[in-house]
Amino acid sequence: MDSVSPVDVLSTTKVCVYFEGVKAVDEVDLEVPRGRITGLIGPNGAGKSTLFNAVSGFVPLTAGTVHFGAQDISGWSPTRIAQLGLVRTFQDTRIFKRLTILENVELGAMGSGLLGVKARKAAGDALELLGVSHLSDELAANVALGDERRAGIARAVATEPDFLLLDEPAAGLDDDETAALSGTIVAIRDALGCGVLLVEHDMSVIFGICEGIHVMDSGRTIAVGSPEQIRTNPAVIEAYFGREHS
Amino acid sequence: MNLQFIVDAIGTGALYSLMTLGLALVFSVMGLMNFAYGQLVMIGGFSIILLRSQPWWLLILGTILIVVFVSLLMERLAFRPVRNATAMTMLVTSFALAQFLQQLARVAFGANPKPLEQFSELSVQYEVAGLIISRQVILTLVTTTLVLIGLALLLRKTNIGIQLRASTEDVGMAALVGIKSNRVIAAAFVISGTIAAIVAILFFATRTNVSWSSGESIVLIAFVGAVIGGLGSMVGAALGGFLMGFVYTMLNALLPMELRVFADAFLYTLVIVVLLIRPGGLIAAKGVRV
Repeated sequence: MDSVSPVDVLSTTKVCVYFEGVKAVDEVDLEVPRGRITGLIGPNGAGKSTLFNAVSGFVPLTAGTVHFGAQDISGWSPTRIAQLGLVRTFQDTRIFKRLTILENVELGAMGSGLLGVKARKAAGDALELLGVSHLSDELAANVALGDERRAGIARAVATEPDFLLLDEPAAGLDDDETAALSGTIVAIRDALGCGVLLVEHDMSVIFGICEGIHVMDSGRTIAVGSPEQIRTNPAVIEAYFGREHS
Repeated sequence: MNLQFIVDAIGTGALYSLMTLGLALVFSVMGLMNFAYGQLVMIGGFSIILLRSQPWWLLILGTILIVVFVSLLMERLAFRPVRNATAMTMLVTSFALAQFLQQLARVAFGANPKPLEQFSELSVQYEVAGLIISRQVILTLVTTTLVLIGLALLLRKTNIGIQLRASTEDVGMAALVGIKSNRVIAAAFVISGTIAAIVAILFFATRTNVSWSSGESIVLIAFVGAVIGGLGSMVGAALGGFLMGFVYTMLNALLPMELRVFADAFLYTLVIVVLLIRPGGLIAAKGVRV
């Protein structure tokens, strides 16, 4: 499908999400270019998770639009969005405990339309890419958190998405696992050529691998730029680093 | 000691274990205890009468096709509209459907049981080590074993099987990874219907008639079997169903003559004891609340 009409950008235009009057996300314009890793950061309560959920269809938009290339996907169901090629992971992974790791990842491949041997092959490749192919036949209930997280990402990778949305993939991982995960995310981008949107608290991951960073605070965008620009941006230092590390 | 009754108990246990599997499968996929399942077996019985003069393979195939068709129709017309309703709504729907199908059969086939010509070829008996084993028992054991193996392979090795297992664990999450619930649930009803048809063939092979009310006792056994086995677990369902049939037959054989009329009471007392000790059933599935 990619070769027919390459979708080069995932974008939001003036997206608002209000919860009972609280402006969780307020007129945010986000751009996630294909082939690049974009970080979405901000202090707690900045609205990044809500924006992430809004883009992937898990939270209804109050106003604004989400575009997948030229296609308006505002208001689409999560399943339909995933089938289009915008696939997300979950912080709590949500893998099926009574299935093996391989079967879990196969499900992702089946969801994107692959069948039988092809689904198994796509799943095997994804596990290889994530470095957990040795756990293929383990029951998901029996693997460590880091490996479970990797299986969850592999499930998304097996669908060969155009855009991969990662929800705090490093949460709960130790330093070594986090460093390894950073390398893996780059490897996934290189292998699939997809755009990656990364919500993450761990700044070593964000500044280590992101090519673009989008910073939010109190529901609004306060800065967009390269890691160097963000690192020295006064508004970011004030709102983000100033508050959390003062 | 006469071990003859053990052979019979194993035969009955095998049949009940099949019955229970068909009911438990749909429950584990969509949380629906389908009390109209017994009526699928009843419809299978009437199909057998209808196809009695046909060659055996056509009788089997025809019965399976008819029951699967009704099972799919049930899902499409009765259960799909209430799929997202509460478990209680689905339960009441299944009761209503069971009554509807019974009354329909009563109108269509009459209030009196329809005679079924005996399958004399199945009553042929063999003597093995002093035990008498009928072809019917052998057929039941072989069929049950094949169905169990077939079901296990289907659930482990095929796309739809993996999707079914994922759906039994978390149907909402399965939908999120792009699994089409409609297809998976329809597949569960096809499998459940196939099992109901096989149960009908094995069950009515030893009966002399089929009645509009034939399904009632079957669904009760399957339901209790599924509960003591552990709702949501296929292995538990097979085990629970087997124990229901096995223990019931053993009670009938071992109880003193004057107590045999109370075999049912003893059986269900045992069921209560099992549930007091293991409220989640013998093999409790995680995430299923009873």
